[in-house]
Amino acid sequence: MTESLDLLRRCYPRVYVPKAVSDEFSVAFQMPRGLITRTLRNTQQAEAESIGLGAGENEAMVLARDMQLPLIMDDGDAQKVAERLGVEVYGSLEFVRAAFCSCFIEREEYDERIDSFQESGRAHPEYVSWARNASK
Amino acid sequence: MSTSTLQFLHLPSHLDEEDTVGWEEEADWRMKRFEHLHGHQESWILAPLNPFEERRETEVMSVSLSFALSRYKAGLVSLGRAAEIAGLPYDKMMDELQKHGISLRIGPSSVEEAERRGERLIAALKQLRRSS
Repeated sequence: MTESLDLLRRCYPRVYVPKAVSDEFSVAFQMPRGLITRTLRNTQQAEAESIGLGAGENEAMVLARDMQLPLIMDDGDAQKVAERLGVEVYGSLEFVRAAFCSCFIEREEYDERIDSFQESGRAHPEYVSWARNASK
Repeated sequence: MSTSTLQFLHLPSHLDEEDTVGWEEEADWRMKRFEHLHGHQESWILAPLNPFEERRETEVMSVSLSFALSRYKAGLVSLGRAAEIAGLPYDKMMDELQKHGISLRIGPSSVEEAERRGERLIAALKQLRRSS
């Protein structure tokens, strides 16, 4: 996911991150420039906490739904919950593939990114093959 | 030694009550190990109130991580929740799951679903590219 943040910034004029994710991210990494951290309102926060997943996942879902924006999230369990909430949700690999198919990145960069997914073992080989065969 | 005492002893305070279900056996094993390493259990009860020795802090981390791994493996928590339980960033939790041979449940659930969702996203990004 973190490897795709730079690409998100290239594709979208604004990329929002809920505070819980921002806080978590900044523990381990330097927060990339250009990401906008959003703090949930009290009512949103209460709803987020009631979802029962990780704080970052909870907040991201509520924020995406209320802002009517697509959400990039890799966890399969969390994706299902997000869809039930009416959120348009995608995994990192789907996003990178879509960025390539819509001409935001060239083949060479795309292949490097797919290699990275494959090497990390964080995507099912079937999805990696599916993504690798993409064309513009 | 009651189960509730064990849970109190071994689980970090930020865990929800729901998270402790099914933890008794593991906690019991951990308790015995802690007692072997650190002596009588009362000393362990007081440990979180005092500055930890480095070794004990490591042990606490390992208990949290072990619990998070088992909950995730059983399909009871999401990746984000597992990371919270372990006290690790999301990406580091993924590393730990992989290191322990636990399969990541990364969406989507099928290539067909990925294809369907992917087409929708491609259309949206093409639209964005045209308008920028």
